[in-house]
Amino acid sequence: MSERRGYFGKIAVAARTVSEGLAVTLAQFFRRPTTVQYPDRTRVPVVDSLPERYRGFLEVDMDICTACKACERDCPINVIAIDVEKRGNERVMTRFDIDMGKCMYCGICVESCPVPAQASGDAEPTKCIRMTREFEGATSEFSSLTFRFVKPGDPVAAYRPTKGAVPATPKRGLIAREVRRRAQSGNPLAFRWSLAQQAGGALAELTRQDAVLARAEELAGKVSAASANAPNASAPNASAPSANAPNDFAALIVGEGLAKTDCGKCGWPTCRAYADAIAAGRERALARCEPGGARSTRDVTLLVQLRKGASPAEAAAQAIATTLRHHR
Amino acid sequence: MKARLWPLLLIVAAGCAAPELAPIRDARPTRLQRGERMLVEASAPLFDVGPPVTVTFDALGVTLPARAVAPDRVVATLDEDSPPLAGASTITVAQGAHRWTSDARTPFDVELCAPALQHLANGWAARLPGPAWLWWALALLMAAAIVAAPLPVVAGLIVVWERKISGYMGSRFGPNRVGPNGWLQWLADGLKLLMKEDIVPSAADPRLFRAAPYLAFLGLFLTFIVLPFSRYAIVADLDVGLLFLLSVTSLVVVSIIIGGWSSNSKWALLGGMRSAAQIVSYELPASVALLTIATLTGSLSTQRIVAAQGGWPWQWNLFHDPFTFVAFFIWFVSALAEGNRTPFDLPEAESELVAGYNTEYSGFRFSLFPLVEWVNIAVIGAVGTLLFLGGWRLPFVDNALIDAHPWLDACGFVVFVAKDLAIVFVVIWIRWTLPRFRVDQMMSLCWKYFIPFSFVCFVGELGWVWLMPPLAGRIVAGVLFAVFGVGFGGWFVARVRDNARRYHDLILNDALGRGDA
Repeated sequence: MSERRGYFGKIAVAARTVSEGLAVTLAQFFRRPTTVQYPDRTRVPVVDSLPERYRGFLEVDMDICTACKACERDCPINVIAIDVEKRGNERVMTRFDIDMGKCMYCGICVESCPVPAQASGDAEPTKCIRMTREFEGATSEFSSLTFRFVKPGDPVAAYRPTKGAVPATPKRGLIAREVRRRAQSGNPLAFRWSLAQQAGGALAELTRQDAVLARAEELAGKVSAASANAPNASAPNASAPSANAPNDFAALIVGEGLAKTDCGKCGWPTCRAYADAIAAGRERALARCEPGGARSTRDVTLLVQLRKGASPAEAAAQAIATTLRHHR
Repeated sequence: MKARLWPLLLIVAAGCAAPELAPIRDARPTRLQRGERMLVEASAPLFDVGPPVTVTFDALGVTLPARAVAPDRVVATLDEDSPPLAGASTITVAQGAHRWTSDARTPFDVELCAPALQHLANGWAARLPGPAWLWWALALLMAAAIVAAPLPVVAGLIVVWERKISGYMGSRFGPNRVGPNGWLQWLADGLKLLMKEDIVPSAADPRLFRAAPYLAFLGLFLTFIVLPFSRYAIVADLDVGLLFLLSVTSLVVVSIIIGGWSSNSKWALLGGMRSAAQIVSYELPASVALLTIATLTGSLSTQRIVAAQGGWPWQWNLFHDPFTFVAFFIWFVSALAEGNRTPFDLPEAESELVAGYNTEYSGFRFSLFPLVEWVNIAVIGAVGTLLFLGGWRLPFVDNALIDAHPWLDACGFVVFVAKDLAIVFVVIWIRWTLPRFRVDQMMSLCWKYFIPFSFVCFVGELGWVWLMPPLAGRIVAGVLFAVFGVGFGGWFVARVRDNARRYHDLILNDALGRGDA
């Protein structure tokens, strides 16, 4: 259209359209901004604005937990870890950890929990373990997403439910907030692994001759115990039980050497798969556990050397060399 | 034939004749020389060059020795030790037995009192060794430094303001966290830039690369010498003020080209070259538009251009006549182009050139470029204010009143800054309205439209000054103000209201309690 206008027609069009455009933007200028100023200038806290059935962090009301371990059993990806001990004639929980970094928020644990509860402020009944509306877990420390509902050294007695009663429980989210605060402030796991990942001073500590030797002797006991459980792996029987030998050894590697985060950075899908591969001799690289860092390399090397029949002193020398080669 | 008749018709219609010129036509201080001097102009070649002349300020009762520098020009010199002269007075020039007097109805503002700093500089120049002009220039630079010290603050506040405006135009807030409502954001940004590493690319020309930002800063800094913020708040009222303004702002272009070239990077070079093409093109219409005003006022001195206008809008140069009206828009758009502002920000087009000429800069050196860019907006506003929008002039207030009541001078300062900020707002507003031009569009706008129109304005203004009788001129100014100031303004406000009527979340509604939330 403008092609058909003359010289002055174009000027007129330019003047009119620019004025119109300026009028539009000026009208916009007087509108109220629609920005939601998360997190601190919202009209209500964002958590409160979420629906009741929102699936945020898991929380457990330890006061009404029966230690039935149903949630741990039903979790498809083993996010929940519960340790139960017998003290006198009472069952106590010494550990109730949920790794929220791994949780996929499927809610199956809540489904399987047998303890109903009524949280204040909720329209619907809930369970002893339940999902909250808390969702802010940003952290620089992966392990601080492990929520520990039992404080170390402070075991919690199991709850004995009364048939048909629906116990009251605090407003959902309060426990999760408290546990998150604790996890982010002083998580011993986080502390240990962050030490292991540091180079320099921590590395020198990890490869000190006497420390490694002591650790080698400690592990030598465990390796021989694992071998004693099964027939000697180096001279396998034709019979079935010998298949257990590498498995026990792999469990030892996972328990003593690896970070148990199943992060996949070693190239194997899980820690167990990596350990199985090492135990079966399919994997020769022993320094692949990234979250475990130098500590993992050292301990895995020690275990492998000891299983080959090396003396603790030989294993320690080898472990120090390998660790320094990979982590300096 | 008909075309030549219309000025005559206007003269008849206005019923007034051109005033008869008094023998002494003009008198003004000249300030680029040591000592305070007054240049007196005669309307005809009256004087003999050589024999002694005296200039008498009749109302002040002071007679100064003078020298005829041309048959129609006399320069009177104020003795350094004599007290300053100020007041309205007619001027009488005497040579031998002849005496010529200026028009008694329009006495001149005699102001032979140098600004304190300048007077001080004159004193030093007389006593200190070395060439006097050097001391004088040093004093000038010191004064400029005092004026330009708040420059980074000005730039910072405009940056915050721009970000806020752009935010609100996009239904966002803009910065609102650092300091009261975000107004200290510029401090945080500046500190961040100062902390950054200063990197000079290894393939760059190190000396030019380092020099470019300072050149840009210098070019802008120097403009503050001639900007008249009020009757007294001016560093130096140079007789060549406008020319000075044009020449020092060109230094910014030089620095952009140097920065682009010395970076030895394709982005930077392309940005610098685009900038060169753009600014050289737009320098022409901008200068010719300014010439229109210089023609009208008969002076390049910024203070005299302001003094020639009045406090009311219809006394501004903007509405003086159709030619100045068009010249304003030509100048304004050209100034946008010269300042690399949207829609003419091709030299730093993010989508094409990363950041244009300053791609390779970092840290403090980089911070100087945005600083210059945003102070430049303020300078555009100031130049537009003084040339077209009446500067610091207040209605009902003349210079004598300002001298009597110094707080009126502060009012003038506030008025100047307010007009400046209004233009700055428009510049920012345009940035968030119009998309960027293509290079060919930008060039055709300049060469096909602005340059012919600017020359039409210039020549038309010559004719206007020559032929238009004062009363008819005043009527035209009134009509222009009514049509464009009131009429177009009203239409525009109606358009804005039309657009705003569709929104239920206007801030105004919130304030009145009529909002929907």
